[in-house]
Amino acid sequence: MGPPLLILGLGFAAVAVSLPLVSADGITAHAVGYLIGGLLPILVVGLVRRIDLDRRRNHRYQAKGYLPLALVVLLVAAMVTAGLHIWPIATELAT
Amino acid sequence: MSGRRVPIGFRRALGAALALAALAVPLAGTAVAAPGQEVPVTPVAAPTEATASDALQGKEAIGDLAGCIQGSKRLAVVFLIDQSGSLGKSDPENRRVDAARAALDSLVSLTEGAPTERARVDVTVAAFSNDYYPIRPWTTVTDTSRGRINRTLEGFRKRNQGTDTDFVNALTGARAALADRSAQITADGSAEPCKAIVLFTDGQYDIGVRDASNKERLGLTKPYAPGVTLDTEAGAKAAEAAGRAALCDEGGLADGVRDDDITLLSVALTGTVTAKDQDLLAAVSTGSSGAVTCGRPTQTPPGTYVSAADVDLLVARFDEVATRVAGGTVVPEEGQVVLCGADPCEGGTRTIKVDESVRRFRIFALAAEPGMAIQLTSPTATTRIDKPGPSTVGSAPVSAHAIAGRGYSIDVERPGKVEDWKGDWTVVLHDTTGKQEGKPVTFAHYLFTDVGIDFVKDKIPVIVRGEGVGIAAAPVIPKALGATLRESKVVLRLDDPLRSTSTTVDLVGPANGPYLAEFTAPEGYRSSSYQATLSLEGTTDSGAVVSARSAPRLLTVQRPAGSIQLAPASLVLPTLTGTGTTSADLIVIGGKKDGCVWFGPPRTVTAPGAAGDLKVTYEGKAAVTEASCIPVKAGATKIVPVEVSPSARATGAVRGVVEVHEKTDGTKATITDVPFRLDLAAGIDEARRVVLAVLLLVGGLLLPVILLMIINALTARFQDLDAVRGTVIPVRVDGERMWRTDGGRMATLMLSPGDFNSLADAGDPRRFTFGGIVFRARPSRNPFGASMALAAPEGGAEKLKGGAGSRVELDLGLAGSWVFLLDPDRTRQAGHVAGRSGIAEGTIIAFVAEGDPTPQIGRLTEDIYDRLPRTAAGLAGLVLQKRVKPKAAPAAEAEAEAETEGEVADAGDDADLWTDDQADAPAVPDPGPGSDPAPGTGSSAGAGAVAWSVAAAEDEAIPMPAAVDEAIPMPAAVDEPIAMPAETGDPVEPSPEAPSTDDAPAAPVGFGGRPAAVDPAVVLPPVVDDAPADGSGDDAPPVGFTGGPAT
Repeated sequence: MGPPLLILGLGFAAVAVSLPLVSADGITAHAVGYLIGGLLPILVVGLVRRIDLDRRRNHRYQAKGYLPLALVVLLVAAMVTAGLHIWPIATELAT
Repeated sequence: MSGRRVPIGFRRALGAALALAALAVPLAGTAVAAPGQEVPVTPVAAPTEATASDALQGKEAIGDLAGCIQGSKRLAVVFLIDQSGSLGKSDPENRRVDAARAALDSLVSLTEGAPTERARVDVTVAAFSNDYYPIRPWTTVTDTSRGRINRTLEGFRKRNQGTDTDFVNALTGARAALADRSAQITADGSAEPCKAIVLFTDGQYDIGVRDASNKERLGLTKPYAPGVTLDTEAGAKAAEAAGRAALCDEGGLADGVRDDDITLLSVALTGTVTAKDQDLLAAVSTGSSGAVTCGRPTQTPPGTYVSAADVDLLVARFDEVATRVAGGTVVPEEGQVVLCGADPCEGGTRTIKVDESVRRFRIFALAAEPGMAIQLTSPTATTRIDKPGPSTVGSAPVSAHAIAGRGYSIDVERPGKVEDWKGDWTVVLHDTTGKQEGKPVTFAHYLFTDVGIDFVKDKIPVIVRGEGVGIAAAPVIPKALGATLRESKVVLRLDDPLRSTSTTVDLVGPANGPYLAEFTAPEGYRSSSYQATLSLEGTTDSGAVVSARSAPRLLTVQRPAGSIQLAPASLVLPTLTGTGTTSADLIVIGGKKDGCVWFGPPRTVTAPGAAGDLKVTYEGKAAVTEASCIPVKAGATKIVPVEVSPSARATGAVRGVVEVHEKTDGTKATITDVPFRLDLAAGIDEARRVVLAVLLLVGGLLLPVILLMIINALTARFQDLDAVRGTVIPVRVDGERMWRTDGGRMATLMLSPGDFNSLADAGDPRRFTFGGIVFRARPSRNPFGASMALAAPEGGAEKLKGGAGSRVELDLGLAGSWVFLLDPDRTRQAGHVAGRSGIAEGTIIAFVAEGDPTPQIGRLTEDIYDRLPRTAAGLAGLVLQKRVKPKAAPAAEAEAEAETEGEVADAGDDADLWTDDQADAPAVPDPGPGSDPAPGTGSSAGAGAVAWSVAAAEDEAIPMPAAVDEAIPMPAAVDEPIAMPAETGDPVEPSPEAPSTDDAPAAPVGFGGRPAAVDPAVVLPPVVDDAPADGSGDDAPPVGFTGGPAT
């Protein structure tokens, strides 16, 4: 037993799915991109930490040393992605 | 005003030709049938006389659209497709999808051919029911994008669940989409595109009654019916009536569509719709139908209305549009065309006369079912076409396009070899399935000639009000063709661009020109120009049909000689993006005498509503009246800037008229209406964008952070307490040796399963008290951090240097954690008795999980032995360095302060906490029900001090002990008696034998948790902080010394 790497992978996948939407047209695509690439990964980070904490109480738990770095990378990626989508959304709304 | 009007005379002639063509196809069925030959009738594809005559209203609009596209070479089309629930009945076979696909196929034809013939076509697809729903963004039509657009259209086969058929919202949305696209195109100076809406609907304006299930989704009101709610049948009917009025009142939406130069091509799916309902849509499209009139009266239909009872006829019409846009001329067919079997037949064979003047011809053939092949025979060769793609007939290139999967549109280009081209071509339609022989086919063929028509060079007519002017035109035939006309008819159409009226002038002359006529403009003509278009209908000596039309030309209409003249005839202002002003110069040329000009109130014909009031100024003045007119000297030229400013950002086209008055000395004033036009593009409000971006960024990032904090707050709780067992054991630590001092004896410190009791009754999972320590679950202030447990003595802790040991943080799981609570009194007594420092007495509080405790105890014990000696020594040293003040802090205050990280319970003046006389020290506060008394503090009074620290065993980090009683070998009891402090209230006297224990109550007035701060010399093991910098705890517990590493 270890950290919830599957959920962590979901967070990275969400960012990856969201990035192509940056070049899409329309506020809908960017709103979806923001939710998938910005909001979801941040929540995933919280979820991973919580599940990881719970699992640490199990004596079979085995820590992964790269987890903190992975979470930081995911957070940064999520915030960058959110920013990339927010600008077109603001542009649409300001048009 | 627009560049798409074509001569009325020409349109009439062409309309007649189209009508003839439309009628020819269905009527031919009986006309061509050989005597005795039975011509089967196909219910789907066979157009009847009724459908043919009813199917296409407003054919002139197609001609206008074709003329516009010929001029601008750019077309923007909205495919606006009904998705209302009524389609389930009115169009169960999804004919609207077939028709839309065929229309798209025809539009592709516009984008092909020679570069000079090609048009760029942009298409967007939208659905409508209660509102306008964009489905596909603007896409430039190409052979490759056709597949993607077709997939979008195919999706409409399942789109028939909408509520309402709201033409107002639908056309409003489509109009806005076209205005947006037009503004985008013209923003860089490109010519305005021609615009069309192709509307596929069952034709029934219908507003549904809202109920609880859909009122939120669909809305209870319509913007054009203020105050009307749709929750009753009466409300829905009232909204329908309001919608019809919004559509068809003068200046309403229909007029707005026409003013925007949008051609509305309506395709009615008339399965279950009454003629009355169809009349409304037909009137919206064409201006009037039956008894219904829609919008301002028009001389020529601004749009078309097509019954889709015969889809193939509709498809043929679209193909015809594409053909005519490319300059093709429809050649009337004689008789019904039917499919032949394997052998040619008369009904399925057509002959096309071609000569050098024809540069291309097109064949359109659409069968009722798939399985048609076309045999094409030139004067020198033959080929069979049964699939789309390029091929050749002799040296003539052939390009075949599939139409709706059951027909072809075939273009044949003029080759280099005249012998392969000139002469009779035959087309034979074969049925390859053996099931359709004799069935009718929708068939048409078109010729594209190089023959044109224009005004005689250098004789462009100059029209003057009230004065006759000669007009001369001539055919334009490239010399290389060597073709001559056998007969010809030439008509000039003059359109008043401001009043939608037209005048036709027949020009007469020899078959090959010149063609002459004289025209006199009425004296009362106010518009500044006529739009003139010449058209030629004729045949060549070879018998080829020729149809030519000149590009629309704006002819300035001058005022009578001696008057002030104006130029240009139409003001085209640059596109205005955002807010501000755009302007164009009106050139005023003086007359024979001095005079002046002034302006009447400007009229805005159409403008986007969001633009608000349009302000028009002249030379910067809002109004120029006769009294303040602009003087114009005789013969002088005066430039008057005309500026237009919208009130707000908007996107769309603005059309208006400037009323110019002029007067020269001694003459009457005259009026000229000068049209103006400009496009508005809302553009981007930069300030708003930045503010929005910041707000969205902050709000957008705060949202998940706040969510995480809420989750943290809700989930900050200990392991379920009934799953944890705890123990409280008094201990003495002397160097590396440790004893447990319970039971009246000192025994080597070992733990056994029997020491642990359930915590089920200790409190709730957020806060409980055990062993004199209050444990609290606290969410991390870092939203990404893990929640933690805070532990602090019930009565507060003694304030030690640097706040050491005031409280600790540990894992919420509890199991595997241990806390050392140092008893200052007993520690001091022990030090007195021993006559040395280094002895610490206190309590260990440890936790294991329910279940088999033996392995857990092993790990705990090992960790305690590993770390407690240094912890205890450090804390003891810290306590012994202080002097205790003769009073203790109130428990509540102490606890409250202990809850603040970095602070400790205030035991009084921290400068002198320790006194030999502790008799005045306050009593130990009640630890509260359910909590175990802190060891050594139960009944004692006076200024004691408690210092403590915690550690937790880490599963991975701590190897299992080699053996335990039953797993862990319990130490043998130590025989030496424990020097327990006497339970007296006597002051503690330093004694070399044994410390007195009857001193004042050892109220927990201090905490110690940072051993390094106590004695920097004490080398702590590397802090194993299970929480990383952000507190998440990525390395497994132990919790270590939670004060963190000493710095």
